[in-house]
Amino acid sequence: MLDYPILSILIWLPILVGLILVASNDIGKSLSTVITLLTTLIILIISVKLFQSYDYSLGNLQFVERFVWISGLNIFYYLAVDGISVSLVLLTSFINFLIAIYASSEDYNNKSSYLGYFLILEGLLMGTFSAFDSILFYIFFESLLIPLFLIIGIWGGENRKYATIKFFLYTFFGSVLMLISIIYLANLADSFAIEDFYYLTLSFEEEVLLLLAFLIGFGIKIPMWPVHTWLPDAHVEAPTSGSVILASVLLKVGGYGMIRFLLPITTEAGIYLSDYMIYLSLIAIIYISFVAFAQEDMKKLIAYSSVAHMGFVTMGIFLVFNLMGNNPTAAAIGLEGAMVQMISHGLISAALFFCIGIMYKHSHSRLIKDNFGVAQFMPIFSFMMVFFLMANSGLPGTSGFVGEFLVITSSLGSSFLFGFLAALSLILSASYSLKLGKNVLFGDNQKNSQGYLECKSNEKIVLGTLVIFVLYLGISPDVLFNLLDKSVSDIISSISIGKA
Amino acid sequence: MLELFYIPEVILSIGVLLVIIIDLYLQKHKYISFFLIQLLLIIASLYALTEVPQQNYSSYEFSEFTSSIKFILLLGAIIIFQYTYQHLNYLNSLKIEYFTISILGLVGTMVMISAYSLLMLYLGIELLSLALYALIGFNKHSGLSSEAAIKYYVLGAMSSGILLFGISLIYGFTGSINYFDIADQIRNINSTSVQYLGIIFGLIFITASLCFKFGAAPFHIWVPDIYQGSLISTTILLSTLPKIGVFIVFLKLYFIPFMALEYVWSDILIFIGIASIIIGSIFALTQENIKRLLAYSAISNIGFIILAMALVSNDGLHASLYYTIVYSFTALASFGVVTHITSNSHGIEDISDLAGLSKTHPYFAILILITMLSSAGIPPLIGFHAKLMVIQALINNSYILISIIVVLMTVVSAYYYLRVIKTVYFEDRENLISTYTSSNILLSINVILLLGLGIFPFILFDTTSFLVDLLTVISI
Repeated sequence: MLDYPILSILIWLPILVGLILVASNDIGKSLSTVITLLTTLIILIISVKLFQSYDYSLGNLQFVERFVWISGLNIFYYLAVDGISVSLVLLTSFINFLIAIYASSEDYNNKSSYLGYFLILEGLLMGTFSAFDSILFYIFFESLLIPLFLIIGIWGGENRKYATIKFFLYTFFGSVLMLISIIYLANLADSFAIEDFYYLTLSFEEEVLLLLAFLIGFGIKIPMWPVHTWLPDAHVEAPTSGSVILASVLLKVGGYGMIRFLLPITTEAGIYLSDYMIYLSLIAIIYISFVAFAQEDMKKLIAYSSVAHMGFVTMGIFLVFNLMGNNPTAAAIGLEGAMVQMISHGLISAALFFCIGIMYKHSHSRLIKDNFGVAQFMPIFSFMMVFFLMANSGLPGTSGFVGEFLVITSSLGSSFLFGFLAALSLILSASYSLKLGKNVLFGDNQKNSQGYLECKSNEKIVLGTLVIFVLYLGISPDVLFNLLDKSVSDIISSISIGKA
Repeated sequence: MLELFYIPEVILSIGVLLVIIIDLYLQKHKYISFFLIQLLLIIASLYALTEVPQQNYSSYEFSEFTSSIKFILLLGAIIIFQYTYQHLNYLNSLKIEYFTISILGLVGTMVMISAYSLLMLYLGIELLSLALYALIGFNKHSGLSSEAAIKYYVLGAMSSGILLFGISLIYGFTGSINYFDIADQIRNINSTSVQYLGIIFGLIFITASLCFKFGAAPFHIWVPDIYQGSLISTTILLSTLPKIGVFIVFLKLYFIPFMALEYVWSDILIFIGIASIIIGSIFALTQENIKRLLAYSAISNIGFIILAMALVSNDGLHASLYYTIVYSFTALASFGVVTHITSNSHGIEDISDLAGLSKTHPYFAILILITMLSSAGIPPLIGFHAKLMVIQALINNSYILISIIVVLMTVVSAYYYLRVIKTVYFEDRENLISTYTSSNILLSINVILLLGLGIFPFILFDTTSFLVDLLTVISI
């Protein structure tokens, strides 16, 4: 335990610096770059410190900060982390640091505001992952929309106005239903603390309605099929760093919310409806993979690939319901698989969006047909991009393999059909990833491809670091398992409490 | 009797007459008259704070509750006048009469708040309405303004007539116009008698008239036209001070004389609240004029206030009071920002006039961003807490379905607030936008409070819960 409020620092330091950057209104590109780099570096160091001092043999809530916030409404400023939160906090600070490095050589209108919004977003994400009062969680969860809305809307592509409004309204719609559920639960529990919700005895009808509300709220955020359509639009219009943060961290908020709310609170209804939810995940995995294959826009392809990969996350989560009764070990494996998949997808999708951003700078087109023969001009970049595409298709030895393998293993515990269908993804994701690689990197047509230059050193650092971590988590995923094991089994046991 | 001389109403009325006379001699130096008016308001607000509470409710109430509300009103008036003065000055149509008439309307609002008999209530409402007729028609060169004034005059007179009819029914069947006596009578009347039916009729007439004054659906048709026709400074006034006044009238009327008829008015008000929220949210979607947009936004906000009040519970009351204050505050800020901006050297009319504001005036763009997000109810801004409290009150009183409708309408209304942000931030400049100051401290404070109170909501929360406590003492 540390004697300073480490979580509050993680949340408020980036928000404060971000607000100053936004308010200062273009203080100069280099100064704002340096400030952002420093802030994200400090945050990264603090989160590593958090990771080191987190005692994962216990797995309970640690670094608790709890004060009354609005006494009349019984709302607390309640921050804490468990293993699941720590892994996502680390991911957030790591990705934001990479974004700061990547953006250091970029040129934007009003760069200080641009970086400021990213810092605000980082702080809010930290808050989302560490808030254990449901209203506080909701406030962070909902505030996330504001900076991202502005980032995409101000610095985005041509069709940005449509994409931002669609993105905002979609996610806002989902979250207001969640708000109603939270207030309803709080009214019953007489407290807004999330863990107090776990002990409520709810009738079956109540649980089904709550489950649907949470499923819509978090399902839109993840996103699940059929409410995923905002994601490709938002990705296509977002600037590179916006796509990176959206794919690698913001989508994880949905999965995190499912683990925190859906699993332990609406267990009975979940067990009853788990098959249908697994079908939805399988549709996401298989159908969306075909959709991804048909895309001509690189960003859209990766966006659909994200939806397919998040299908594994939701499947891992819903398998818990399915396996809870007869096979708790397989259930834990599924949940751990979902977590590992989230972290790994956070790294790989970030890397792929960086790659597309780098190519776009030279060719000024995101279409596959406009980019070809890149490998001749950017050999090092192409090597790394091929690596990430392989990881995206779940090549053993990369982190992409671990999560999918665990989820498939767990689904075999439930039914052979689920396992078989989920495993199809390995072929499908390989086909679209390789198609992208073949056409873009190795297409042999040479006209129009003279503009490519090997990427700058900061971009090499960004991609290189990601290569190292993707490999590291693929070869020795134990780091993650140690962190998650106890918390995952805690979640599983609190589900059993709810059931009893 | 002498201390009655010092109540803010009297101070304001006498002061205003003096200012009118002084102003005749100071035609070239209007800022002096304006300064005197602001001084008058400050003095009155100080008196409102120190007013001695009396527990004698013959027909006029002096209590801590009314004086606190009056203080809030006067504070709002000071801010509005500050915005108005600069706006009118910039448009070269500054007349001190504008402020003196506004103050008379303000006195009317205060009389409404303190009224403890139906006649006094009527006097207050009429004084306010007369002032508003004049203010709406103030922009003599605009056809829309005259149209709005006539429309409001005709409809307002009719609604006053309906109010009087309701009052006379109540008087006829209870034999009293005093709130306490009416409450006593209603409690003692047999609920199957004709007398009882007459009282219910009276109540419904009064409700219809007051909903008209409030601008709640289905009595809302006048709101967008009148908002659009009047000067934007009048629109600020229309959308804040009278709303607070009518809200307090609602509270006092329903919770003191008509408390025993709760089962009648509660359902009516719930319907009116829901209808206002739905109409306000959906009709605003296609509006191009920013004043019409804000008018519909006002209608839906009033729906929230009425809905929370209709729950007849302590948390509902608290939520409605909190919402009223937050709404007035947000309306002040959002209209306040718009008064500061001109496009092609006329006031802002359409949303598209604001296109590209963020590129030329980033300071005002941020202010619009914060006010719009707060109105849409996005955390961590104060508008979120207000909506949260209303929804929580609904759920605590097991109106789950209604709460779902309400939040879905919040999503719909988010669209038009986002449209304003989109125009300001994401679109390229079309018009020559200019502002008469690069920044304004009062406006900045107003807007920053929307964010600050959102992060530290307990400050406002504690104040309003103190006010609600005062209120329950009265109604018991």
